[in-house]
Order: sequence, then structure tokens, then C-alpha cells
Amino acid sequence: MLSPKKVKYRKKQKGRTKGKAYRGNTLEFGDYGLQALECGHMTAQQIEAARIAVTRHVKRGGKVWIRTFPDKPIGKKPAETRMGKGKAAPDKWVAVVKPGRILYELEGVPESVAGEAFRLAGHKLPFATRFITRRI
Amino acid sequence: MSQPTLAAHIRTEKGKGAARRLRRAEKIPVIFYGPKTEPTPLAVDYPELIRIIKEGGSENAIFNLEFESDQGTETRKAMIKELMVDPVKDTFLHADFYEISMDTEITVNVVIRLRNTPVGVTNGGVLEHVRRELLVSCLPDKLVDALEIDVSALEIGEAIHIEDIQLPEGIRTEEDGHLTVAVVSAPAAEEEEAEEVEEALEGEEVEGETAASEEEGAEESEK
Repeated sequence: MLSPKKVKYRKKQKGRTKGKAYRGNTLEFGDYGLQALECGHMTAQQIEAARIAVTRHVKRGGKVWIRTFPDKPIGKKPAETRMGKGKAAPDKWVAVVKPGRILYELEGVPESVAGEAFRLAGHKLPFATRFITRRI
Repeated sequence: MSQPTLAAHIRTEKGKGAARRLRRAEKIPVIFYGPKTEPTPLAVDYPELIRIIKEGGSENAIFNLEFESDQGTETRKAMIKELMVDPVKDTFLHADFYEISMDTEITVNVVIRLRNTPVGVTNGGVLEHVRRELLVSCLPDKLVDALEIDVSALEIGEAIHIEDIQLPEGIRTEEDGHLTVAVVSAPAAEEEEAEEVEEALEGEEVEGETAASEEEGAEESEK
């Protein structure tokens, strides 16, 4: 699964997400893409699950690009622990996603196959997505 | 390229409130400028802008921009330099119009379109369109909507480079000739097997990590 090789600080503040993705919102590599319509956190497991859903559906052929990277650590306290005693240890890595962000791109397959692959991938994600194609 | 006419009017109000009022009235704020033209804030009808882009065949459309100014009705040759798009609604929010002169060269990105199915793809390869735009310089009347490239002869492992593109007369590019435009790569190895091996490896790693974190948690709770 995707995770940073090394980080400057082990823990990050929670933060709030607002606004739209004004970067990473256009197709750069492939002909088809999966675009987020809501904001949220996409865990490394979800990124991998959606990628596997796409590659399994397109079988051989086609090339997939992952346009997000989970660079934010999320902490979790151990079970049956009382509140307090400092911030929890890092548990998972997530990518912060804003509406409009392109999550995956695909090339080398017919549009119908790409649409179905991204429909399956969208079901692995915790926010609404849509299938997009190049404008020109 | 045909040169349609686009009517505009000078904007007197500025700021996001005024821009939003314009957008609600099916208009779009525009800034018009050029090498010898002072930036002029304009507003154009949204459906008209869409028509210009469709008629031009690409965002490189050249058109006659008509607007009222202190010196009466002015008509200037212009083209779209930049379009700001809402990433979710997929509508245009703002446009930059650049004044051009028909006897001065312009440098713009032209779309590269691949035509036909390569032989390599019918044999199981994957066509990768690496470079989708080419930076070209030409006089405005020589500008084309798109560069069409026939890739039907490409076998697996073969590629088309910028130097292989037959540019129309009057158009030249400054980009490196050895850069790849399209390549037919060999089909990926069986994904399933590779994935299963990966998953097995990851499973071991995850188990190792959880064991480590449990130990850490236990230490913390002891403290």
C-alpha cells in the first residue's frame, strides 16, 4: 500500500476541508478519469482496493494512473484506553480529497470498459465520484 | 479556420460580487489584453463563448471581438489565452482574451490527435498517447485545429516522435524532435498473479505492523 518513505513529523493535526480542488482537477495522462464530487479522506487501503477493482476489470491492456497519494497520518488510540494521555499513535495514511480532484486515470481501453471499471472503483470509496472523459 | 464574431461589453463593476451577478445572468467575466493593448475588463454571453469554441474546433479559436468603447464600436482580432473552469460543474468561470495581429507569429499549443488503430494494438499491445499537445509557432491564418497523426503502422515497441510529425506548411515547432508522442507498449504481464503475490506480501507487512503497534499501545497503557 502507498505510504510516505519518511516524514518530517509523525503526527498531523486533523484539519477541516473546504473549497474545491483547483489543482489536480484535469486529465493529464489518460483518456478517462474518476473524479471526486465530495470531500473526504481516502485511505491507502481504499486507494489500493479501487486500483485493484480497475485493473481486474480491464484485465490485460490499459494503463492506470493513481493521482492521489496518502500523505496524512491518522492516529487511533488502542482499545479500552481512557481518554487523554496525549495524541494517539499513527494508525493509517490518508489522502485529503476535495471535490473535483481526479483520483485515477485510464488509457488504452474502450470507453464502456473504462466506465464500468470506474463504477466498480467508485464503490470502494467513501464519497461520490463520477466518470469523466477528455473534452477535446 | 473560420473567424466568427463575438460581441462583448465593457465591465464597470469589479470583484467577486459583480462577477457572480454576471454569471447568474448567463454571462462570463473576461479580461482582454495584448502586447500593445491595455487590459480591458469585458463581459460576454456564455452561450456565445461556447459557440465560438465549438465553431473554432478547439480553444485556439480566432475571432473578431466587438465592443463599445470611448472611440465607438471597436473590432479586434483575439483568441482565447486562458479559460478558468469550475472543476465540479465543468463550466467556464473566467476567460483571458489575447489580442493578435494577423502578420505577427503566435506561439500556441495545438492538440495532437491519433488516427486509426495500430497493428500492435490488434496484436495485444497498448497504445499510449504520451504527448497530447505540441507547442507551435505560426502566423494566425496558418493555425490548424489539431494535428492528425496516422498510427496504423505502429507495431509493438514502436513509437512516433515529434520529428516524425509532418507539420503543415507555415507551422514550425521549437520542441525537441526526439520527444515521444505515442508508443505501442507490450501488454502488461498477468496482473492477477502479480497482485496476488503483492497482496500476500502486504498481508505479512500489515500483520507485522499491527503487532508492533499493539506492543506500542500496550507500553503506553502501562505508562
